Amino acid sequence: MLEVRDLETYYGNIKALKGVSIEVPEGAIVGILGANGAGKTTLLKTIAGVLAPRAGAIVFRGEDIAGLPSHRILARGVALVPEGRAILSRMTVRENLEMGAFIRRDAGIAADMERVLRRFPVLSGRLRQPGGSLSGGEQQMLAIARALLSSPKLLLLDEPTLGLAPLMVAEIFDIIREIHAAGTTVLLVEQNIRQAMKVSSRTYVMETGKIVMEGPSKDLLREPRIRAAYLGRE
Amino acid sequence: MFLEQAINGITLGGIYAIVALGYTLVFGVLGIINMAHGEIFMFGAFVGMLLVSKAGVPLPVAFLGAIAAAASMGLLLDRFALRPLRKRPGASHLASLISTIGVSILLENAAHRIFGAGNHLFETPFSDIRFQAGSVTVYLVQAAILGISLLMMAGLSLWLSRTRAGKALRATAENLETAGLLGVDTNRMITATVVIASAMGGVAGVLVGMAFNFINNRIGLSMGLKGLAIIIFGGMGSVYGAMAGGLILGLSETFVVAYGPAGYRDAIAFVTIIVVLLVRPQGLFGQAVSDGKP
Ligand SMILES: Nc1ncnc2c1ncn2[C@@H]1O[C@H](COP(=O)(O)OP(=O)(O)OP(=O)(O)O)[C@@H](O)[C@H]1O
Ligand SMILES: [Mg+2]
Repeated sequence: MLEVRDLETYYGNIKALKGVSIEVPEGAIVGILGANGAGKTTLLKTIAGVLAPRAGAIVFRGEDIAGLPSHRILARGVALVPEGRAILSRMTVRENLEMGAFIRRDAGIAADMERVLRRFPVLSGRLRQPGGSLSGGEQQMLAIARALLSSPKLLLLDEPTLGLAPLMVAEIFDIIREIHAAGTTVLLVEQNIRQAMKVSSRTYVMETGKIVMEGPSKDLLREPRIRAAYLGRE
Repeated sequence: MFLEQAINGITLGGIYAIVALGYTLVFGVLGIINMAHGEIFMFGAFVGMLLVSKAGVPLPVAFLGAIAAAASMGLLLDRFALRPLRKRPGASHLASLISTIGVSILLENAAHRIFGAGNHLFETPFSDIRFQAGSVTVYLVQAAILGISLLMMAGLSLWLSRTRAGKALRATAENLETAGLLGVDTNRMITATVVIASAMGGVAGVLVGMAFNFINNRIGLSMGLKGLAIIIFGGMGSVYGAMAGGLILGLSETFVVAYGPAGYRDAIAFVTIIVVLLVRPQGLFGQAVSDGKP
């Protein structure tokens, strides 16, 4: 479904992605892990069109989308839930959700909105509140709900559990499983490595702008180097 | 007397508010002050004057003409002075500020060449019609100005809060990157905002002509400075701040002239603003800057 080949992205003269290649098959959950500053966010932002790559290809369902502006990429079915959630804090929760469906013109929006509110009941009681008044966990729910309202084929999640309490982390992983079960392909960047490797079928490991390891998640979980570097001695 | 002054003040304040809204909308999406806005407003006034006083067309047609002229100027401003700078990553947004200063100088010189430096009479057909209610006299022109400015403020508020495009504009103003990720063509949204703000400037130009009965090539600068003061006072980028700030400035100026030392009209208005800013540095409706973004 998504094939990224030899992607290079720069911040000015700093090369943040040094030839990254990954593949996300349709219907899969693929995980990306790596230390702080490895380039995970840069990779997702480049796929979503926030950043333009200087070289390489991003092929989504047979078409090269590299360098397209983000609204075009969203229209093709790739939605990003950015790191830090990016809630529109001055707009209400309802308006945030409405903006999620901004690109749609179909008749199913109202029904989808109801479905999303049933799935995220914390939001339905807070529709008139400004987005910025929600707690961190609630904001993450809102960010995911908002992205789902665009009916994406591929959902990119950038550290959705960052800074959340354990109970909320478990809830977010449940939601990711449900989204996947409902037919959406997921590319997940996570620091909760053990849980991420349990939901994903395939994992890529990034270091300083490059993929340094990849494979089926259950194999990598047993890999001694991964255990030493990322999982500690448990 | 008091009531009459209050009506005068609100009328003037309504015009100020419309001018300030033009600044605040553009500031919201671009993070810069459009220094050419005052001059676009002035051209709106001149087009309105030519249509009303020289061509003798009805006032509504003059409004449409001024709107069309100002909106086209906004489009050209964005196309040639702002958009080329947006495409360059790393270009400081101060570059676009300088760019608008350049355009403002260009327009001011053009106006000087075309219209000269003198005053031009702005003849409103019904300028003598007035109503008497008890001891209060209200001119029809004032009522029209008040009606139009209130209508525009209400229309803009409704558009921003209720419509799809209005919400997209607010999303763009709050966070360009997020708006893009939600499917908003932010480049087009910025262009649309500059055009809408300029069109409002055109309306304000005609309103000023109606209110003062004359215009010249310096009204862009003087109105522009007031508009700037108002958005700093009301809170940069805040729509309600621009409206409230405009009305407060209009009222305080009018009352200073009526009951105080008329010569201090502008000074006292600005002193009010300075006092408010000392108490609330972010302006009346402004948000304290916390995340480094305006
Ligand atoms: N706006 C920027 N300007 C310059 N350099 C940047 C910018 N954003 C990120 N970088 C650099 O690019 C590299 C990759 O950053 P990125 O945010 O993609 O890492 P990450 O893997 O997402 O890290 P984290 O786990 O901390 O979120 C880092 O060295 C970072 O310092
Ligand atoms: Mg990151």
